[in-house]
Amino acid sequence: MTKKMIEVKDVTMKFKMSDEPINSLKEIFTTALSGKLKYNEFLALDHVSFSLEKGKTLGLIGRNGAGKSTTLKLISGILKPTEGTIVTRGNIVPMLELGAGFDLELTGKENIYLNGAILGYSKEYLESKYEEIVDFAEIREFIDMPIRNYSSGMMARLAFSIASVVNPEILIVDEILSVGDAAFQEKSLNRMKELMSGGATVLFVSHNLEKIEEMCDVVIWLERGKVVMNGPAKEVCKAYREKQSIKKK
Amino acid sequence: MEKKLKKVLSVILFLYAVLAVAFYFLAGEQLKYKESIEKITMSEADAVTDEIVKGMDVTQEFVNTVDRIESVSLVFTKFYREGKGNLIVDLLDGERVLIRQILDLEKLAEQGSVELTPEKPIDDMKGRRLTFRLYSNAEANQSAAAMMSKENVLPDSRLSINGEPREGMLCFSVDGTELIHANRYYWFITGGTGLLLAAVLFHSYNNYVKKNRANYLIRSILAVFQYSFLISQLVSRDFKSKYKRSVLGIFWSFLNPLLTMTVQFLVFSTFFNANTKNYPVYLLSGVVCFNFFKETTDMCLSSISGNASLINKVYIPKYIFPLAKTMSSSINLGISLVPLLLVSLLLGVTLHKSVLLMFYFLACLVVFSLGFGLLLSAFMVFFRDIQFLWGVFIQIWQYATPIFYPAEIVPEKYRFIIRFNPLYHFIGNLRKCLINGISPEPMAYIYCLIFAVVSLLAGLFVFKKTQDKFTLYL
Repeated sequence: MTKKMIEVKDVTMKFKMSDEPINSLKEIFTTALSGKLKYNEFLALDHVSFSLEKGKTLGLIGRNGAGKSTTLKLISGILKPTEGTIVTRGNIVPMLELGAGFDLELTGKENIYLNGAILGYSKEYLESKYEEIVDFAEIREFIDMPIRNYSSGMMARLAFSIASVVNPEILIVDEILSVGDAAFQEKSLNRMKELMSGGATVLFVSHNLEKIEEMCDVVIWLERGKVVMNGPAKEVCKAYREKQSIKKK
Repeated sequence: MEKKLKKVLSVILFLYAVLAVAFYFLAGEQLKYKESIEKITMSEADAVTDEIVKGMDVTQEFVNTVDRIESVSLVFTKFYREGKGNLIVDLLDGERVLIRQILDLEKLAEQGSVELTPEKPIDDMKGRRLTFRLYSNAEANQSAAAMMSKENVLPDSRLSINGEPREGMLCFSVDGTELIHANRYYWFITGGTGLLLAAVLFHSYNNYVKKNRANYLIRSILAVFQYSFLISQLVSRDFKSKYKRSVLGIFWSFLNPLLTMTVQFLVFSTFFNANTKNYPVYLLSGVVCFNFFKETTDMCLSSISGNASLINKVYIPKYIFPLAKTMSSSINLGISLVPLLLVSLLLGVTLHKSVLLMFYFLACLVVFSLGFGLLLSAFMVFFRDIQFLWGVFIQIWQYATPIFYPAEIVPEKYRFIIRFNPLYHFIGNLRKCLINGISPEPMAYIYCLIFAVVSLLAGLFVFKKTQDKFTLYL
């Protein structure tokens, strides 16, 4: 039996949503006094279960608000489920939003260390991989410049290079392959494939069905927090396409 | 990993032992005495005795309440005359002469208090029946009389002139300290605590190695290993981005407290300069400490909400953020100690060994601020109003802390405010170490430790309880 890297058991995630965001003491008092303090519970995930074996790539598809990003955040530990349990084995690198924690005042070099530390890399590891990161991002001549002077493409390239330099056991990716120019997109896609073939277990969210079909072994189709379908990539994507075309008519 | 852990645990134990021994020598005499709370204070003068001339004998018996007498004072009047001859004051314990002072009547100041100090402090005097005896060799109209109160303020005291009892009592005060003998129990207490610490560390380590169960202590140490790089990166980020585009850069950490002190000195020196010892140092030490508290809490306040984008994208233990902020302002505090010590030296404060004890109170201040920082950062996520409320609150706190004014000017009925003000304890004790050159009394260390630990535990508790909900509100 192959090792299960991710096990999601009966997970429910509820968000409390008030009609208007209540963020201050005054608002809480006034709304509570006027009896309007009601939270609408929003069920982002409703008793979702699945598991993923080592080395497999899982794609999550579904419309906006179906619970894809919530699932990724739950697995990467950013959110805690309201009910149910999530077990993960091995180190996780979440590529949810690249460049989170970049400081615009710092130079590219300083940001490599800062961002690397945030992603959980050790100092020794970053020092050994530093050259590789700079080369991959193609920003060698700008590396000692504060990144507020970088173009958005340069920043994205740097971010992707830092995030993808490790060989994670679990890689979590949320729509990030549209980074930089065409050449860099190609390069980053290859890097992703390289990581996958290196034995990483991958969770992948995209609205691009072609890419999902190309890269994933298994696909889960989510709709309003529920699993509609869980199976081989081709089948699920086909069913999803049919449903979409019915709707369009 | 286990080797590293073992090393850290032994370092903790070793440090504890070193600090315990160092403290004993640094605290010195203050482990034995504390300021007496039962001093006899001068009663209000509304009468005088007869002029004390040759052959006359004024005695004042009283029950002493001070353990270790360091000085006594009396007040005399010469009726504005020249005076000639001597006035002799004895403090007697039965037949034994404790203090004998021969006053030159010519030099005696009109209605000034005369302080008599024994050659060395007199111990074990509490509860004794002592007697002042005043007599003279002066002729009439050339001597002085002692000031007295018509009412007998002290219980069980007796005034008599030439052996005849009189109503009222002399105006006098007795000053001294109380023996507490903390030094007798010191090794016992610190040794016991040390053994307990060793047992806890050993037990935790064993549990971890043999049963692979990490308790709270081990987990915190492991977390430090794991996240020290991240924390150091966040701290250096704070420094780099804070001073990046300023010309003077890190020098601002020196200059800021100095400038604040200068401004406050110019404003307040006319009021408080005269009656406060070394006013600029007094002021600067207060400014440095309070600024640290203010900076830390301000930075911690927004440490979670300000890093919302990060917390929503990557998993990092959330306490890292307030912790990193506290650490960067602690470094700032360390830098601003340089101008504090420089100013102290320039203004002629002799630095005693007690200066080292200052770091104990600084450590308490840091822990206290971290606790507040954790609390505030958690609150801030749920109620954004906190940032404005805190701005007002810290201003009130600033005025309620004796930073630019001496604690003594606070009226007795409001003293409780500063007595329950942890910052006053930290700052006040620090000043004692720095300016007065002596260690505070042993209880002061315990109070400060309690304040710090309570604040930290409260902060940790609230933070831990709420941290899982942070992402839902950010």
